[in-house]
Amino acid sequence: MFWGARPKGRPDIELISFLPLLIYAASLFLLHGLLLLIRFRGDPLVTGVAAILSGTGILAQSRMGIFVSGEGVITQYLMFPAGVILMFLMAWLFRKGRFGVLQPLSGFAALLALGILAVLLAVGQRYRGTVFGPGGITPTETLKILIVLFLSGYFSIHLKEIKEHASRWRPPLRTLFPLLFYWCLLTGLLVMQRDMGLVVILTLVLLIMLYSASHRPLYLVYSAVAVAGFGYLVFNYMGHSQRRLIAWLDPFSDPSGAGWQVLQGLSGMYSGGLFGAGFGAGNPQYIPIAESDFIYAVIGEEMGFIGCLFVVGVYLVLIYRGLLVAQRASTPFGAFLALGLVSVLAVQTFLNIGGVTKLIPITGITLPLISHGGSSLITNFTSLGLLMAISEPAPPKKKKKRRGKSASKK
Amino acid sequence: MQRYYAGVEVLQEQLNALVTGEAWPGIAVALRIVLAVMVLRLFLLVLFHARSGPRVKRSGIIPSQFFVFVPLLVLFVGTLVYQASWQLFGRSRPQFVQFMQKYDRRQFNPAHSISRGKILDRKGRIIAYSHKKGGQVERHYRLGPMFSHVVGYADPRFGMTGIESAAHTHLIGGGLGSFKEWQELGKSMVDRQDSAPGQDLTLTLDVELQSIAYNALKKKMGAAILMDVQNGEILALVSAPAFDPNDIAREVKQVEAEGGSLLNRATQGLYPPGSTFKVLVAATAMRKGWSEKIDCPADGFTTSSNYPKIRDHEFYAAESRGASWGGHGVIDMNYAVTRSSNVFFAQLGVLLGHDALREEAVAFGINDSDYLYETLGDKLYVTRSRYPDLAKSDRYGLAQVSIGQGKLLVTPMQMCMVTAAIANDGLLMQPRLQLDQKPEKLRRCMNEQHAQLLQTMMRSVVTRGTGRAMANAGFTSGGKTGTAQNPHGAAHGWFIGFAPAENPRLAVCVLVENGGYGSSSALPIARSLLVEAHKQGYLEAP
Repeated sequence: MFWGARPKGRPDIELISFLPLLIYAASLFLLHGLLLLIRFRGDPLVTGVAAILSGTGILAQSRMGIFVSGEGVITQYLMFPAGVILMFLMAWLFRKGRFGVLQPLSGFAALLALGILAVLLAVGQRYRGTVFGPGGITPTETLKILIVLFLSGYFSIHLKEIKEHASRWRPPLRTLFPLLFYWCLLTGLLVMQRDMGLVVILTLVLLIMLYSASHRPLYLVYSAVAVAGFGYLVFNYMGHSQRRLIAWLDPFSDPSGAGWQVLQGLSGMYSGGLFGAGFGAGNPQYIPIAESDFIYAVIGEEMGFIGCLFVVGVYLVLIYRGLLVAQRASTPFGAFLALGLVSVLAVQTFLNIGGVTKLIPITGITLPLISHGGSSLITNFTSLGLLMAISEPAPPKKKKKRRGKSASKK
Repeated sequence: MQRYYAGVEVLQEQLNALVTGEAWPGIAVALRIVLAVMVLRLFLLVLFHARSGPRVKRSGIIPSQFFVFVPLLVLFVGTLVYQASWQLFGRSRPQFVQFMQKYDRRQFNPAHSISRGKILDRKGRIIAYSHKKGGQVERHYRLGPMFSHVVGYADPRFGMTGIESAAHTHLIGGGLGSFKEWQELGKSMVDRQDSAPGQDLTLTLDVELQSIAYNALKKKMGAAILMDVQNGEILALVSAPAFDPNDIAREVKQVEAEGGSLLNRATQGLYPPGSTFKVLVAATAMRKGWSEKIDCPADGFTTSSNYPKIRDHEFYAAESRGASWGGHGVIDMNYAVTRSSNVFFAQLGVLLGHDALREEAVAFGINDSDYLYETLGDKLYVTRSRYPDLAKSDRYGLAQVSIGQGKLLVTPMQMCMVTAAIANDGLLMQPRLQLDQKPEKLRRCMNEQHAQLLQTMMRSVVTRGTGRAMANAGFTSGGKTGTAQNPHGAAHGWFIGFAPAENPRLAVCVLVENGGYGSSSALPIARSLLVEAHKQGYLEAP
């Protein structure tokens, strides 16, 4: 565990090392004060869990030397406060059912997502397999919210047709066709950018939402067939997917090449064992890109299997609470929005941890709230802010009655 | 401002004093307890729903937790279980342990403290053993540089080579056979400290023979191999210069200065075989049923006036004395092998043609990837020798290859295998380094009659040809010398041979880089090796 660890390597503690921690604490106090000020009555656990996870992230990142002075270090310091403030703004603006104003905008969100991808294709720069926009930001991160907005709007509008569809075997193709068309377009653009990780996340989220809207597992079987066909095509025509698949199936066939990263990560975790080497006492510098995609291996090495259990446990708490928010939401749009946002988080977490532990192929996805990466952090905080907003119900009586009436009219 | 900085420094000092002070372990424990309580509280809060948000009824729009959260929970728990199979039980994965020992530079990785088995010579004498010191296991090589290449080294920082690398899984006890071995593995997973001992490995090498070869090649560059032709056991395998595997850190630093002491010249060095290749050309002629005579003028032979003439060494010897030499005249193959006539074999090679020579080389395993040791998917390979791709029209290239020059490159191990095949009447046994493996046939290179005929030719090389220095050693033998021109300085000296001549038991191959004539550089080393082997009784019929 990281509390009470002695400094290693650098013998002296410098006060500047406490700066990320101070900023972290100050941001959280500010958030707490603001939430008190607006008398926030939503789920109180989301902020706590987010604080634990992002705190672990800040610890792990400062341990990897992210906050050591250098180019762009100021931005690193500002990321967390910016994310926290954004989270508050989301919770404040859209609470008490006001997130409903987003519903008419869901179509716009879909177009915006395509626009971002198109612009990025034209001007983006490729680095380590990801396409970056100007200033090193990854605008595709926003898709994780935009697409969920779109899907929530779509499913809440067509909920009745999907849920009450008569045929047991045939899905409501007429209703789903526009969605299918849009998905092909989106996937096509993403494949052109070789962002397979995002394709996987978004498609899995789509499937979770489709299942939740229809309550029919059979549709998942249909989807699995389609996904398998698509996966086969991608595997045959994309070299780097093929390499990753081989590195997953048999990393020992090329241990010093394709299998290097995942095997170094596992070696670190093995050397950490049950209790870990101790915070700051491991050697995660041998793992390529440890501070971002492989931060989980760093946690495994230094905090041991126990530390991993803790982190996964906290993620599960967040997922559980998020799903609870979705189930308690009064409108279908709110329910789907919360479900989608939590699904993105859950799927992303699973893909990252599964990749690092070699359960599934590496997809190049960051660990939410913990991995280094400004765009990812901001997006995650925004989603959590939205989740908090949905968790605070509209004030009782007046509004609730009105909604009840309109529902009974239908 | 200065006062502010002074304040910062005082604070920093106080902090450091706290962390390094005596009270810190206690504070650390207290902090951990605080953290544990906070974590516990969080989970309790979640589990028992204590005041966690307003009580609102579920809308039922999306399925209950059982259908969404439970599958996710199963997925995550499954991931953690799989993670544990690496993080906690990684030792049950031999390939993983091997990877970590080879490539993981984390000093305190428990994989490094798994003690390896001993490596022994054929008479049970220890070559390498592990010794526990502190938390780490150290690997010691009792005979230092003598076995440096064939046994190699195993070092947590510099990886592994040689048998240490190829037999790694065996040595760390990864090749688990019995239930008991699995039980021990399970025990070691729990305590992680006292690891189950690895398995020993007994090699076919003989310390005495190895030391003869090692001492003879000291201060030279080259390789020497002694092999039992009837069962494939390798008795000695030396590459020079050697290095000390006990101090690999120093050796690795020096490698650039010294020029490749880490290279195993016997199995990885590629050299033109020189005249030793003529035995293969002779074998080609026998297979083709060719048995005529060729006129070999003193002036030499070439395929076109554009290329320099290929001449016999007698010509150059006479030239340097200021005398003239009349040439061999019309000679047969036996005489040509005995005197190692370049002019004869250059013409013979061109006569036999590209395809015949290539087929013969392939039949003898040139262009094949052979190995000396195999276990659980790991092999100790011999670098592939290369018969060149010559254009059909390149007749001069063919003439060059026929006398073992040009683009032809072979390893000393390959030439040893060629010799062993001829000595064992055309049948090559799988060369091997592990004693308790059964002898296996590797390939038939030529038929019995031809092999015996070639043996008598090589016998006459020793009795009255270029290898006369081999005679009168107390046993009969056959052989072939070689002197390979190369662009890196003086010619490489070669000698391949077998003994006894009547019923060959051992094949020997010696290469001395830039040693000059094979008869004066390589042959004496081969002779001292065979003399020692004779003394040890290796030449007696089994």
